[in-house]
Amino acid sequence: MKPSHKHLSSQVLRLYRINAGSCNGCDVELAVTASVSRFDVGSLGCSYTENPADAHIVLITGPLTVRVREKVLRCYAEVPEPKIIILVGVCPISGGVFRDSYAVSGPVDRYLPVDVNVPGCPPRPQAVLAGITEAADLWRARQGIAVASPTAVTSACQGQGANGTTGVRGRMRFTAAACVGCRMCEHVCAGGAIRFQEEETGLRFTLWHNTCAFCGMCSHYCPTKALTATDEWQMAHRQEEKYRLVEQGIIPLVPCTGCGVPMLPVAAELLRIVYRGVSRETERLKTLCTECRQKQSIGGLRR
Amino acid sequence: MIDAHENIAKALKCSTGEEVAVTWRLDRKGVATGWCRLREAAGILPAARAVADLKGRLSMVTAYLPEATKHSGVRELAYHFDLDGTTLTIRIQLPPERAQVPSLTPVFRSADWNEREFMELYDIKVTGHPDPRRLFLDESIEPAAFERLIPYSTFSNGASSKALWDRVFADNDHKESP
Repeated sequence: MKPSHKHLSSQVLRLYRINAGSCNGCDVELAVTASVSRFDVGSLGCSYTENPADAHIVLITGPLTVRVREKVLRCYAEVPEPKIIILVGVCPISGGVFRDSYAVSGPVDRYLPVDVNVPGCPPRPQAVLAGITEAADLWRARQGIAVASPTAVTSACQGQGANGTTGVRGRMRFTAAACVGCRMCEHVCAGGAIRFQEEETGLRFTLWHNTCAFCGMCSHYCPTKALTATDEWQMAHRQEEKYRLVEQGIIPLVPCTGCGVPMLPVAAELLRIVYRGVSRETERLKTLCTECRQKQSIGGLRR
Repeated sequence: MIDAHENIAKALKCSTGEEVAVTWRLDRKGVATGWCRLREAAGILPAARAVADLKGRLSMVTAYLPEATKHSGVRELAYHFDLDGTTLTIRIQLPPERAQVPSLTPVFRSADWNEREFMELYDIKVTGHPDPRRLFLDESIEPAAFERLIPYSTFSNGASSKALWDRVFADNDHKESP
């Protein structure tokens, strides 16, 4: 006999946490969702359990260290089907700042069928709630229960302003027009979240949010502030979206007005910093490649 | 104070059977620190017993490769003891091959994790440790991790990063942020 949908849709979904070698940053945020009424998972019709056999949704924190791998897999196996996995924080999703260490086995999706990712380092409790909402919808959908439009997160976060809160660490934003292509951001990025690719048409910038630690080093070192931090914390997404969660931009090459060789344009922000403004002279020289500029300004090439 | 310092030197000499010269230093606030070396690595156990008899305790143990012996591979262990607010550091040198020290854990329980730590990070054998299990490194990782020259590219094996970034690029072909 098929259980009634009404019964299942109102069923309390139980959450089981597994710490896969986390620094405990994400676990502290999870504790908030158990102890602070405004962020309580109870508002989503969920509750935490310490017994894997009772659970419906598994939350995993940490990069999955070699040391805990077998224990994590064992705990996961004890959760009965059907079950949904949420990865909390960039560590289980991509390894985060610990990726490629000899002591790290992850990312977790090498071993387990992940459903929902909540990036961040750590993610805000609201983002964790958004991930749990997504997971609960998925769980219900897999039971054949129609899912109402997800309103739970918005109500749980009321008064917070989903994207309007100030002082909150969120995703980084890239402004291609201000980028000078110095690649300092790529160099200082702790999580290895930034890559540049030289293409025929220009220099492509890619920031993958699923390994960004929100540390702000890229923005700190960016001379022209082409990278800035936002307070957009909502980045919970389904596993299918994992690799598409990027910030991208292309700095198109422009031809040198002297010789026509393609070159990176000089950002107005850079001129402001270097020359404290733009004169007619710099305006003319900025469209020239290095060689033509030298010829024009000092009468020949100097190397 | 002078008496106490002489007592320590005497106790170390009695216990280890070697003449131990302790150098004492005073900092601006009058805190005394004593420094000495033992010729024999095995002497650290009787020395530790002597410190215990003087009601001292073990603060920590440090294993390191000094700059001066970087090429010969002679490592040192520094045992930092506390005697009622006075720090006594006893250093021993270890041969590059078959380095071995007795465990102090039976005398000071605080030596337990320090010893297990340098047992797995360096090629140093600790004899008589009551619980010589791995402390940090997984069993699957070869011991003496700090003794091997591991190129950074291997240590941080970029295979995982490469695989992930290949996927990111494949899934975002020609997508741009507004």
